[in-house]
Amino acid sequence: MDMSEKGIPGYAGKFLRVDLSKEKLSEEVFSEETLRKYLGGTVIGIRILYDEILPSISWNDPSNRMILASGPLGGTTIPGTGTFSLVTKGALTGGCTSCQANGLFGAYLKFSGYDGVIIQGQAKRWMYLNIKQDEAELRDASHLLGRDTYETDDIIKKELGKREGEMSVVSIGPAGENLCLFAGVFERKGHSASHNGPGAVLGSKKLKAISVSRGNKQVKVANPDKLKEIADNVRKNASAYRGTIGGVYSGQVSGRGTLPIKNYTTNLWSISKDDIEKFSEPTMRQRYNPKPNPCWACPATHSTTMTIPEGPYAGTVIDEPEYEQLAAMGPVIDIKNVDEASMLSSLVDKLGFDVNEMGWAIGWTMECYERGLLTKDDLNGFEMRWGNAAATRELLHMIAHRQGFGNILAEGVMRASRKIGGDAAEAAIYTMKGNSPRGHDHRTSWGEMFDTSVSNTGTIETHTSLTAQPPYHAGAGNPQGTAEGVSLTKGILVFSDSLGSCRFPTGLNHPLLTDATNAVTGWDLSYEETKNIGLRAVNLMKIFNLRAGITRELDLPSTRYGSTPVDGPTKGVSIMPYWNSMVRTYYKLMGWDEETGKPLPETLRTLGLEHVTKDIW
Amino acid sequence: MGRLRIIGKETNLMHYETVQGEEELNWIKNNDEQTDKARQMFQKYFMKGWIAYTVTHDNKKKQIFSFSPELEEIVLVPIVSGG
Repeated sequence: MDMSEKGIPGYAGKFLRVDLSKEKLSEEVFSEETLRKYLGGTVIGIRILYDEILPSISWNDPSNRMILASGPLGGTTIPGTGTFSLVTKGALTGGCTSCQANGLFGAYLKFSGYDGVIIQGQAKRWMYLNIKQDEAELRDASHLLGRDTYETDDIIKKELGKREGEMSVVSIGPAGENLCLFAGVFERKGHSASHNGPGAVLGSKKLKAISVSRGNKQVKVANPDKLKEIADNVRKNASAYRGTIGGVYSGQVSGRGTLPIKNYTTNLWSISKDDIEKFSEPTMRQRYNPKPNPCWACPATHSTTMTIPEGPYAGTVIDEPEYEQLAAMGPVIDIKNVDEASMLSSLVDKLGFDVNEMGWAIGWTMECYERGLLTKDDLNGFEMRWGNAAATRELLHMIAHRQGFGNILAEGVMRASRKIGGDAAEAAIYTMKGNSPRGHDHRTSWGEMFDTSVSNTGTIETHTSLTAQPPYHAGAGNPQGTAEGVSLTKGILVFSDSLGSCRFPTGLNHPLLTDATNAVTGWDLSYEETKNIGLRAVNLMKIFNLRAGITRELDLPSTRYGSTPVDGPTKGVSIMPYWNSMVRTYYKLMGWDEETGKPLPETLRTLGLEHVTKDIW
Repeated sequence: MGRLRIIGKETNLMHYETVQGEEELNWIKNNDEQTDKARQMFQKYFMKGWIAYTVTHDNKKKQIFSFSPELEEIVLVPIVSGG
């Protein structure tokens, strides 16, 4: 049975394939057997990537794929199901990447009759893809070149005669056009799928944007009563959720050492009570005049449009900054003025960058300048002192356009630091695969440092429940527990990312997500089966990456990322003496060869992946 | 005798800085009243999305998806997630 014949509940029924080289559009249908095994979103995306490209190709090879997909929950009444997953071979690591953006795109895709889009090839001229109900077209994008992600959204809606809410636009900014390796993909002004350089991949394909109109197709649901019960519960949780905007404030006042400060040179942030208070959630909401800009079906106080109220950036309209944005443009680079941090985080979105990598890149530049490892001349006349927002603003534009020192930073923090070399190379925060971590000081959160460093995607691949517990949380505790925790929970996050749902309203509740999937599709997947769906993708990614040359030696943090805190609650405590034994434990518990990390034939057989065994054994 | 540990009971979902608190519940596998109570407690937290795992006598951990009175020790911990 295929989707188009019988109409599998939860699915629109087809994927759109776009060959940019041939300017050819076609439709593809997956069997129910395939969907039950790979669901949608991240997992089906990984399956497509694995099947269709050689791991050895470069990220900018025209044969690289980008898959943007919703999943069976997409466009249902469950809050936050406008999310889509993006899968490609990433520009920073050269391995698989998977990241998600919330908003409306995933839901609108399904309402227009598509579960996902597979992009391949390279256009001869800049284009954008416009998806309408059951049809699509490639349009000229030459007039969009140089436009930021906010402007692109506005221009496309205007020229296609769509009002806000009638269309979702996914686009790249100047960073993606100019192939900055940490360029992201942005939906509706501020929702980003940006880890590991997907914006650069789209830029290499000369695809500026994808627009999708809100079609009128309904998502068929097998058990509406059960889905309603689940959606009502999720809505209740979502209504109480107020976002991560206050995370910098709570991170500072908690004193737990998880706030990333001045490129990891310290674990203690010197900031006045008045200044940190302005980073708090109530104060920001009071000062910034938020207007609701909700994601699909979601009542959370999380997605709003704000306006900077005063000072040199007064009147600047921004998407509500999340924790990681304010961390990257705040404590990481020692900017203590919340208006400056908000302006910069918004500029990062508009230019089309991943904000975490940008924070580490600017933080590294500032540290090098303060230590005399980079001079004013090296930096095109800018004094990149800690907290210099005006200079940072100019440098962001230079990176996006690959001008001057910006051309070096456009390669990402690992490559930039290696190019400068010497002591500067030791000061950069990244994993040896080439990506950088999310916006925390992971030296006090071993689970996340370990997961980030050993993951396939270039960012977290699991949640860190077990390792976040005391005493592990303090970072001084249990290395084996950390490795066990990361392996034990692997699969659930990736399963969640296959559904087309946001992580926040569902709280990554594994039984709830499984029950919701069954309610929508009419299947009877067990909790263990849904975890295995996620593990299937994790193992496929691992094999893909090994074949791409990403071997055990790269499952490691950089010198600074894995350094020993000089102050704060974990002063003098390092994870590194335990690292090799942790990796060995992790591989063993994942069912992988302890030395090489190759998934064992028995593991692949258990997951129904015996057909790929020959690829590595 | 079996043991059910609930770690991080006071956790505010999504904010791992607030993880604290621990509750413990014991049962004898042939005691219906005790196993029912443990099963209910397990179900309450499991359905909230908490991760459950069992710890065997040789200190091996294995994720579980249902309660069994035969298990020696079950630990429940809250999800801590990132965006």
